[in-house]
Amino acid sequence: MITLNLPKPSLSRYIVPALTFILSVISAVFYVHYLHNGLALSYNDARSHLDIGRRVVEGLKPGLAQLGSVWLPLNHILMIPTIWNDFMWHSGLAGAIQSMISFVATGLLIYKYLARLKVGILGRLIGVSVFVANVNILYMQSTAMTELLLLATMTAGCYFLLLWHQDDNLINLVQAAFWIMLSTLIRYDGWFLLFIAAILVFIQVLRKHSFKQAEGETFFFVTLGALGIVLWLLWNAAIFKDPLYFVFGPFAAHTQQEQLAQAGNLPTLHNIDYSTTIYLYALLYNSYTLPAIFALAGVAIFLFDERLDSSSRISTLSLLTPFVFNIIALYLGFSVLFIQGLSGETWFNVRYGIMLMPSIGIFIGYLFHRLKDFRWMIAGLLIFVIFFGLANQDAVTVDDARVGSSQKNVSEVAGYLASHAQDQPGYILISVASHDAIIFSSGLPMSRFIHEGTGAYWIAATTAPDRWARWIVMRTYDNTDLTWKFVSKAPGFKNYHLVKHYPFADVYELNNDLIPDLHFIPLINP
Amino acid sequence: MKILTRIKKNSLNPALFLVGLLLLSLLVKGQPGPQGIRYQHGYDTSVGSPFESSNSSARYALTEAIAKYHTIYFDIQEAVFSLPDLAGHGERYYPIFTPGISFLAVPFYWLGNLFGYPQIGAYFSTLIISLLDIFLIAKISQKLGGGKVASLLGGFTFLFATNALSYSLTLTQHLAGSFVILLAILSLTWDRNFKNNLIFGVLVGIGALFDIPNVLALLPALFYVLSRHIHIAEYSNRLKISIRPSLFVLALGVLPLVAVFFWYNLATTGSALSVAQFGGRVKSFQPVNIAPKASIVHGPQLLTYNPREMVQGLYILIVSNERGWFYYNPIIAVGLLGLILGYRKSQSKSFFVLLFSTILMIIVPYSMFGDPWGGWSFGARYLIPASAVACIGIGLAVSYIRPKILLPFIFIPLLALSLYINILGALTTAQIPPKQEAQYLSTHIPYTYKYNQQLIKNDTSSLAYHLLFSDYVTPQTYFYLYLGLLLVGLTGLFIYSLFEKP
Repeated sequence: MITLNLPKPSLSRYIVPALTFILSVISAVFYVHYLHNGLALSYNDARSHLDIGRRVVEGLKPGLAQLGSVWLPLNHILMIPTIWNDFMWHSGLAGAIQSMISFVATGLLIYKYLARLKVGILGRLIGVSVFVANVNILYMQSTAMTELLLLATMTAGCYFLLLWHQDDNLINLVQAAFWIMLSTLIRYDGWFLLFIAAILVFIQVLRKHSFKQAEGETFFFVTLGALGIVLWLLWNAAIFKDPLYFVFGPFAAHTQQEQLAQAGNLPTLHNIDYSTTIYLYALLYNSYTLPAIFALAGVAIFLFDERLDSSSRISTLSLLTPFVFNIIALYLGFSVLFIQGLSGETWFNVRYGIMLMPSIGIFIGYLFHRLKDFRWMIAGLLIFVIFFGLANQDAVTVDDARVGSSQKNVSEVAGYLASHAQDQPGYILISVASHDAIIFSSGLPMSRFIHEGTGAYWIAATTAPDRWARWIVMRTYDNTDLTWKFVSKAPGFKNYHLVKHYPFADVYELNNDLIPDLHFIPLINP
Repeated sequence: MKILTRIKKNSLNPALFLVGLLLLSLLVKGQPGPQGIRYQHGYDTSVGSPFESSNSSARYALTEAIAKYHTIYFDIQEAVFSLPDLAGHGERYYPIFTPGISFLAVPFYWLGNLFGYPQIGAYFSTLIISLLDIFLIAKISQKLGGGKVASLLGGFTFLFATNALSYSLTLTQHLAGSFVILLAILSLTWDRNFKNNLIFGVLVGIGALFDIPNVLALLPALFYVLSRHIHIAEYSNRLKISIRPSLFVLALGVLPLVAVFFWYNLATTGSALSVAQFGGRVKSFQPVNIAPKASIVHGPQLLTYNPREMVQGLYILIVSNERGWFYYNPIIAVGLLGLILGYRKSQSKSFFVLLFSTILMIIVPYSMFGDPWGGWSFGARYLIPASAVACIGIGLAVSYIRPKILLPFIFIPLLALSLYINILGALTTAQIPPKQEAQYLSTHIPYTYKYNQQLIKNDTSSLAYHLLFSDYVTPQTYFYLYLGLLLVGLTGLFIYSLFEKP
């Protein structure tokens, strides 16, 4: 018998700081990895997010109004302190850094959530690992997209909701409302979480106290939780003269989905089976399938586990809201999601499937904790699957970013602008609704572009382009491109000649003889 | 009286072995030819022949190369015969598979060749191993609390009522892999001493030589062995880790076979660590009389297993009508139920966890494999070892299910359906295209066992039928007679086992 007599390591004190450090290193390493292989900015939306943030601080008409209404504003607001820096803008770090911090925070929240459920250290680490060692998560945390920030705020909201369910401490309810409020300012998933959380709060107080108290505490919770939504409605009313502009405006997702539906490309609309199937596939592809299956077993055990108090079980239902929300959104036509081979040939928006990854981590951690006999089997199989996931570096979210509707290879047109406009004076007229990625990829300052958000410049340039724009970038004969829609009717457009035709846009340049008549400096007072 | 009891006790297994051998012999593939039995000296790869699949023909070609020409490299004819499961390095060609099955078949080839039937001889290696699988399943089941007859029923169900039947008539890795996995599991019930650890090590090595995924399937067993040798005791501020030295003998068992594997790899791919499968297939040859120049198609950049494939892989392997485990072998459900019941009732729960882990370590990797269909095949051929482990539970289901009156209503219909499907496959072909290929064939072929239903109306691949019964019954009648015989026999075993004490 060979015997080793070792001092027993006491790790529990150091685990949270160690985990924070390890997750931070992983986050940084993968950001650098994706930045260097050119994938960090592949998502068209990532470039648009960065441009929105940049327009707040730089451009012909900078200011908070540039936040617009296409997307909810929080991640753009969070970019403001850093996006002024060209490196932070063009490396995507101004947006990615929120995702990276969110990645670390979500990992820690999973750990703490499981701790509150009295799961052992190993089970907590398994739960965190399932979330962290997923290439889809690692990729999304390296981009300027909204997913990780949303995951962090929603998970934080659910965590404090659990705490409140367990100890009835009002401070925890306030914190839950605060984090959920933040999530409502990132994506509409947060709105649904607020709705479900409010119901859970009401049920919990009703179970323990009276109807009147339940009414009061729910109102209290919703007052803070819905503050973001109210501000957003007011914002839309103030800027766009319609509080529901974000829903029914020309650039709203729902409007775009209506166009898809008219073209017959929205098969999930009013089809609950298909909506469920599509989202289930997205979930399975994003999670590597086996973790989702284990998590389902975890949910079953969790919900019927009498060792847990019913408050914890009820509270944890909030972790399942992304599943319900995404199916409803697909069913109502507010969302579109394609699965390659099932609906079309792309992975458009498949990233919505990662919304349950923290929940999957938590339920697996719980499963590991409860099925003591099977814990090494669970761990072994997860390690096997995760190892090959990491080794292959194969992710559906990367495919979504690289192929199909989520990407735009605008390098040619952006390259043309960079090489021809970099050292030449003159404005470029372009629609950000159609070509934000070109603006970003050209590397030119935002102040070189006249777009819909530049107010009087836009009106002037689309009315008399030959006095304002040396170059015009637009899709010829496409009335959904606002530049073409207005400029094609302007008399001055005849003074331009087509210099380049590209798949995503054409470039027109003003005839040389009229260049001396152009405005080269911002004359209009914003 | 004692002598009679002893004879009765000791003669049951040999007798059942002979019954099994006889039953399998009635299915062995072949046809009478002008010079005796066809396929013994030629390379006819027609549907229903022993060489209908390159999984078998490539392995057979290596067996023949070793036994007949004393080389591990193919000549042109053998190389063409092995396509598309052919690998190449420079001017050398060899099968894409690991060599264990071909090595195992060499003595059987020699023996068969003595009588002029080298192919039948070589393929008998799988057949004999398939029969041994029955008794390994029975032995393990008995050790876990199943009755003797109920446990034997589990073994026979595995061989005759799952797609293992079709592959017991081929020269492929599935039944031999099952044998190694079952024997390794059985060895875990033995004392953990030097000898038994050596045996376990040898089994891991043999498993790798048969097919690399066998090593993955043996991982749970390996961890089980490790757990029996490593003891961790916690004290207030100390950890005491004790390791039994007999553990290290395990490596001694693996090493000689790993050495053989490395030698084979070195001789073929040029690198001891490079396996033929990972070097890419040889796709086609230039005309045979010219020095062969093959076009090698390299595998994709992704690793063999990719989690993205799992969604489709699990569907195809478990429930689809193309290959689904439960679709082709519904009786497996009873086996799994038995394992669950066994786990709940047993004191040695960790052993049941090991069985579940083994099943999952077969299913999960193959579900991540790019081709879960296993090419043109019959049922989920990759899951045959998982079926073997699951069938351990059949004996336990019979012993543990309460009320017992329910069991015949579950067991007999599932058994009948499983026998129907799998005897159909064994008597016709194991070459069923995946749906995505079937759709593009110029001649329509169903992508389920409906294809076998069509084939049996006209012919059967059974040599025994053609030699002995073709003058008396049609192929379809032969099928129904065989099915009836098996159904009556196994139902008899089942009814007997219901009254047996565990």
